[in-house]
Amino acid sequence: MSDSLFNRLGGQEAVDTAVDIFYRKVLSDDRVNYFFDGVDMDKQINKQKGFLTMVFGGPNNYTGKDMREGHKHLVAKGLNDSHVDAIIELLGGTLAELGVAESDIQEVAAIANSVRDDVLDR
Amino acid sequence: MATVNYENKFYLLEDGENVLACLERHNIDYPSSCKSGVCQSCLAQLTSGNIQENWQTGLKETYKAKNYFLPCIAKPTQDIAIKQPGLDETSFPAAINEIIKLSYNVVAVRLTINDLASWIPGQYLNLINENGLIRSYSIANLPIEDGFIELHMKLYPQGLMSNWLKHHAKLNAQVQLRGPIGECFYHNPDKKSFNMILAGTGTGLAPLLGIIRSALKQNHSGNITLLHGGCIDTDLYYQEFLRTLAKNHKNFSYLCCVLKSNGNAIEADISDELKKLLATPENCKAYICGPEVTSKKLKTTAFLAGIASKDIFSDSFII
Repeated sequence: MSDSLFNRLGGQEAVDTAVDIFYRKVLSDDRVNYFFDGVDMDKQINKQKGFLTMVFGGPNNYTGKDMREGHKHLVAKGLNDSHVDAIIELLGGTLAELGVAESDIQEVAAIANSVRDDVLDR
Repeated sequence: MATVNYENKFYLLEDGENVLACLERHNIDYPSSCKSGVCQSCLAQLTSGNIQENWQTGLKETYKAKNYFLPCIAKPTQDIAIKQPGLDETSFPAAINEIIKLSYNVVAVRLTINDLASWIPGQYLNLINENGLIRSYSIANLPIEDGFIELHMKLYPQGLMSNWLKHHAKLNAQVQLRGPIGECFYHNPDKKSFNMILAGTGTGLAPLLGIIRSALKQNHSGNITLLHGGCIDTDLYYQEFLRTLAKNHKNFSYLCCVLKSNGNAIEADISDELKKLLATPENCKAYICGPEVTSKKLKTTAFLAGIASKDIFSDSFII
């Protein structure tokens, strides 16, 4: 287990460090931040931690159905591939800032990409 | 279809309906306030059936152990039986000692109670009046030091508690207090030095006052800055006290702003003012209180200014 992606990235501690940087990037990016208007930060930070744990390859309870249900209201507001691309880009930027190796960033991006169809409800 | 058994009657739950909504649909007058699983006004005890963990979000362990839960977020799929918790099990008797007008729509209610030590400044409590009406209020003072608990109540023309207070509450009237609850209070056992920014609008000042007095009482090392906002000049209250406090404590400063001023206050959006204050937020924790919409905005402002999410403390009012 010592060489799993999640452990290589630094486990739960890395998630806790990355979540603020990542969510700040998301809220500052005009391509995606309007989807978070009026959202409660505390709840959102917890959800983002769940998301990061998943894409870091860590233990998580997300199912495809959760991803689908959780984003349906956003799909109705126009959520599409370009937004998923933006999120994956911001995720990569966050990890780069934390000094994560490019190959690991690619692996994280691939996991994030694997839920694209669930998120976009198709 | 699941049923709720309450006071020996059975109520049929609709698909996906919560227990409180079901009782209300059947015209049962069950105490409630926020209806979002936060304020704990609708606290109930499960007497039969299976409890689910998420029905007990935010409840203290002793409550969980007794199968207390929040009907407003509980969506049972199997039959349950519930009862209202007995007052003597969950609440403490208190008496109204004094009612003081603070502004055109805010009064301070001072309560005497036997055990003053349990009521942490900045946390909130549920006040239950003689009619069983329950509302949440923040602890605005240092109960041990002052010998009473002070709450700030905004008076709403149609508000049930407001009208009870205005027309029926007498001095020495008995009420019950349940709690305290919430994450927004001064907790610094290691005496660490950090700067505190406190921002809130309206009676969001109440918990912030409690936190500020708590920090000063414990000789907080670091700057403490309060930013109180309102719609109009007269929404700002407790100004004299706060100005005196700032005069007597070098590390405390008091700032205020309103959306529309007659010239007695800075005219600005509190969120913009907070942004200015946080231009270089070093070693800073933020405490945010007030109505939900404003709180959300202020929390996000503090976060984007660079304050870590774990250093932002907030209990928003859900009316």
